[in-house]
Amino acid sequence: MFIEIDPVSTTPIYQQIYDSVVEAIASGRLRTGDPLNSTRSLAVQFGINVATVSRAYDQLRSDGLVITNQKSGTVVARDRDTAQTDSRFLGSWLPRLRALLAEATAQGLDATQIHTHSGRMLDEFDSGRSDERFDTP
Amino acid sequence: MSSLSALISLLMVALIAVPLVVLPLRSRPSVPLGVNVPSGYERHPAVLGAKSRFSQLALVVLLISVILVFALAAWPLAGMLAPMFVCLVGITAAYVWARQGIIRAKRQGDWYADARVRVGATLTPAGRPRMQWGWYAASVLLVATGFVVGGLQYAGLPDPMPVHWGLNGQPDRFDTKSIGAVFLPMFIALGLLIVLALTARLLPLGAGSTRARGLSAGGTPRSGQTYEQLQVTIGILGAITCVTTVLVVGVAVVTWLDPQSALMTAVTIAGIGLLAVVLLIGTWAYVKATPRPTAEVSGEAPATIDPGVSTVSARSAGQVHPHRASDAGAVSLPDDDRYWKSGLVYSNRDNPALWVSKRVGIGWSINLGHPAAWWIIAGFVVFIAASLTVPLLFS
Repeated sequence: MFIEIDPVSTTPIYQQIYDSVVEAIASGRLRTGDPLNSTRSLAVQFGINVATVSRAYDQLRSDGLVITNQKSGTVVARDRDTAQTDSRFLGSWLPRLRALLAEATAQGLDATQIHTHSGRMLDEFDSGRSDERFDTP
Repeated sequence: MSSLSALISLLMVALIAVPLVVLPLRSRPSVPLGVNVPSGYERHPAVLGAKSRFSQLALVVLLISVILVFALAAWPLAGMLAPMFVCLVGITAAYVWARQGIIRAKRQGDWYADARVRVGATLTPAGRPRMQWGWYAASVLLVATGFVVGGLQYAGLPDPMPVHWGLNGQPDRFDTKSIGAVFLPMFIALGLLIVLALTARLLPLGAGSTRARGLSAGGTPRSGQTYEQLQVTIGILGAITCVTTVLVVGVAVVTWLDPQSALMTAVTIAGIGLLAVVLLIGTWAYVKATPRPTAEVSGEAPATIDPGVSTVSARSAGQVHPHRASDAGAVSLPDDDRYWKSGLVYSNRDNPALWVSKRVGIGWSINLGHPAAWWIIAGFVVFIAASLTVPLLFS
């Protein structure tokens, strides 16, 4: 499975890697048990510091998305079909959702538009695709 | 035989000049003269101007080299080495000088300001490129055969024995017979064999890439191309090892069986010809394994999905790259000119890759910023020096 990063973006690279893995899990391209390349391998391919990749993997680990063991390396720990068991997750995610929705509303998007965008993206996760093209309203 | 040596000198000059001139101009449109330019700038006037300046300078250097070949025709060794040296240094200097024009224009025009820069990697294991031991097994067998034949022939060899032959096939240098003198070619072949095998074995361990891995229909990178390049490189190294071993062992065996024979010239020429064929096929295979970027976005769905920066996480909300929404065009690679010193050698401490694929031409360049790099270079030098001097200790 292939991911890409934007090295000159204002978003930190470890964040981009994290987001890519999350999105891959959400769209079903990564399933429970799928192995991930070592931090070193990813760093060599990207040509970036190993510590950057480690940071992304650490965050994925602490969020329960991957686990690492000595024998098989880093492996995906859950996918979108795994039952939601972590109540702490809602506690950290809901405030972020609120912030996003508030921002959209403040910038003039109405509920219908927000629902349309959300629905489209959720559909894309379901169909296993994610599209980089953004519709301009 | 000065016309023959002049011809060979001209061939050697051409052998150096052709790749030195053609590769910076042709190998990758997005890296003209070894300078990274973003998509769409490949035909910018500054780029085209620099390329034509380079071509003109290279032509002048080539002309001077050819004149030198004929001017120095009376001195065969100097007549070959001096023009080659002038050609090499001259064209390299022209390259270093001409590319500055592109670098200046790039900086002044801030070409990368609007570029959509991406670099990709495979997240899930794609398998390790396989080492092809067959080539090396065959080479070891050849060297062993060489040792056996040499051992059998040893008693019958003349003392002093010929150790160098002129272009006419007649021996022109003699040396006292000894194990070192007789088996030197075998030791050299063995040393080469080990060095090339090690190189092929170690290459995948540290191979990163500073180039695109192929672009899918949507103009975004596709996976696995570096794997293919590595696979081809390993194959090329194996084939070169085998052919070189054939050449060295073949010539040595011919000198032992019949030192005055014209067969040796034939074997040498055949061996070099075979090597040239291997190099040509290898270059073609490597270029085929190297992707060419597609500039337009096609209408079909991308074959591999590429998640970009997502805005799901509020940690990155509001930090989307400003140009992503509007720019559905071609992808550029990161501008890593600062790591390519004079456009020739790569040095980047932060890059954990030991080898990076070359921007100009084919193959891999060692990353001098990697702690192991200098050890490897030292190791190569020591090994080659040792494999040349150790046999001399026998004599």
